[in-house]
Amino acid sequence: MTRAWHVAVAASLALGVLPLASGLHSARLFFANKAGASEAKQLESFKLPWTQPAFLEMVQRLDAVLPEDAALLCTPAGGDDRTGKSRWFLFLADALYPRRVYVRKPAFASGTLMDYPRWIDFHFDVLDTDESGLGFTSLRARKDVLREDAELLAERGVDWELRFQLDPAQPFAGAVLLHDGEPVELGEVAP
Amino acid sequence: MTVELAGLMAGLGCLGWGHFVLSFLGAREVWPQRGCLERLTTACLLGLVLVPMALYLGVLLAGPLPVWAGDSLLGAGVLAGLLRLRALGPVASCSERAHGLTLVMLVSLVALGLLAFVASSAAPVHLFDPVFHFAYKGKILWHEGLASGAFTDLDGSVGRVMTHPSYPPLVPSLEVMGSFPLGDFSASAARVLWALFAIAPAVWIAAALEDRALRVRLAGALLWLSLPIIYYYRLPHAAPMKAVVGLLFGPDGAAGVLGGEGWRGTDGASLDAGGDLVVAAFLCGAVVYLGRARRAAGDAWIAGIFLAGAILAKNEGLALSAVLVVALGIGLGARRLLKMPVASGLGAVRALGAALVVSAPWLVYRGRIPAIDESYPELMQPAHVLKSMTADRFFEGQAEPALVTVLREYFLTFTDVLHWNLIWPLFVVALFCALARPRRALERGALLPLLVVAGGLVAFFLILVVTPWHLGRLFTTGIPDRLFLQVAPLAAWGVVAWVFAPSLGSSSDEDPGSARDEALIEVEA
Repeated sequence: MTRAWHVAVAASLALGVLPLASGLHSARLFFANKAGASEAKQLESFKLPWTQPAFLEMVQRLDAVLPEDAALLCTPAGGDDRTGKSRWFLFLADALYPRRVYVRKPAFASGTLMDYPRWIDFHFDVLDTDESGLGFTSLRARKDVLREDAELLAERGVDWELRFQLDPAQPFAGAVLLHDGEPVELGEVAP
Repeated sequence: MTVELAGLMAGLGCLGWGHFVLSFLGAREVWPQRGCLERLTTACLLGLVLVPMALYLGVLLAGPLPVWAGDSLLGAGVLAGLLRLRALGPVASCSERAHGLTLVMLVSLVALGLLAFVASSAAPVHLFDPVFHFAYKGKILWHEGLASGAFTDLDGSVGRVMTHPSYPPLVPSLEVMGSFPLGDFSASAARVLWALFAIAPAVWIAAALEDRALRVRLAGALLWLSLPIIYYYRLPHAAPMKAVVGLLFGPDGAAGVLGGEGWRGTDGASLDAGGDLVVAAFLCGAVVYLGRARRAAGDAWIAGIFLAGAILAKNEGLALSAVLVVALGIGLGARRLLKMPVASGLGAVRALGAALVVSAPWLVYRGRIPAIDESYPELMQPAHVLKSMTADRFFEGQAEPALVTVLREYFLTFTDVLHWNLIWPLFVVALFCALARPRRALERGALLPLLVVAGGLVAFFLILVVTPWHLGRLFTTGIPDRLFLQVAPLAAWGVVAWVFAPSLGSSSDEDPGSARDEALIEVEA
């Protein structure tokens, strides 16, 4: 038993050679390729959804138009993704900061992935943001919700809106930017 | 100024304030017997709780702080530390010489510590949790403070976007603190300090094993610091054997030899400013100093501040504090049976009091934040837990009871050598041995850490059974590994404390054949 304990502890310690070797390779690669590179350049190399060029390009285009104290409402206007991979607005809130990013029903939007389909259903089935059409009774409910929302949005100074298609592959596909309800051209991407 | 330098300057301020506080809490009778590294580590980690939380309190009371205020606080910390430099008396020096195996272990520890520094400062904060759960909140603390409604206007019909608004503020506050010397917010400014959360448990494990030989103390520290999960979660390849080759020779080297697709660099949230490593470090510190509180009352206050650090780093810190209280309760209840206490009762009360005081600003503010995603106190009702265990959950397209899904994931994680070495099989065997002979485990100082780890694993199990998140998706994000990391230092300490009995007097590695040296590696048969 004594020997078994020793061997087991020694084996666990010996496996430490893997993180040690891996760490040395990572350090060598870092000093060879990335050390001194800009933060943006380094982030790009991670190939994450929020560091991919298509998303950063959209951020740049919004950045060129929105004033620093802008408050932006993100509204899904179509698309059938319900997996949560199209929650680009989560990344936008960080990337556009200090601009404030708002959503309707924020608890569904940034809560669990179980809640996310409810957020989409609310927009499509109650507010008809995908313009698929509503029944007569639903139209009245929609009108009431929109009136209440309009008061809250005005109170919080939210006068910009970004309407987009839910697409996990393309950040903010078919995006339309509105200011006080009027369409605004998205900015150009700097070369 | 670079982000690394800003982080180091903030760290210096923390070290100063931490030493200042330690000089009042630490007893002059015990600290001269403790090593220099332990003194530095404990002081620094005390500062890493108290300074960011002082800043958080400032933001809570007065709104976003001007740069001069943060810089002044950090600068004053350096002066305060210098002012009380000699207050704790001289530092003990190690009387044992390292050579042979001991030297190899020492060199490995230093190398892993340095690699932790390189890994933590090598890249900007980039993974999902560190960026969106923590750094984004740091930006809000820096620019808006807490009065703008960013944290609280989340449950109405229109509100701000924020993931996990009820996550505690220590990590964002650390990033705010690191940004003051820089003059503008950067989440990466504090990253260089993250290595300290990997190194500190190693120092404390060695300190807790003070009555063992040097090589046993180093083995305990190395058992923790050599855990791969600290450095990476994503392996260089999805196939295990290819991953091993990728780890040994680097993904490029392995791709050159083995060819094929799917090679990638290693990556992980622990040293990317995630909160789990922070919880792990502070919980380890709390248990180490709580165990010592019988000899020095000041250690109980230190334990309390570290417990607050765990509570303020992630919500699991609060759950683990409850586990610690239960473990202490069991220990105190079994005092007569064990014929000695697990920890000082008064010390435990002091520690909990200190933890409550330091966490108070957050606990008060937390009451204003709506629970939009998960509210575990509500989900943990016994009837709901029992119902959730047998309720079918979808996992990889199939419906099965949550109990089965979580148990299977626990088994897979326990046997995942590429992320955990052999720490979990060792822990399981040590726990059963210790429960069979609790008095011996208590004498060896293994009972408390092993009980806390066991309690923590049970708590995580219950959390996963009732969680509103999709289990299949959750298990692809490093859960339960990231949860297990929070108790891993205690597991390493508990295993080594159980396996290697305390030695009487000092040991000498210069005389490895001596009978005494053999005796100190006496193990449970």
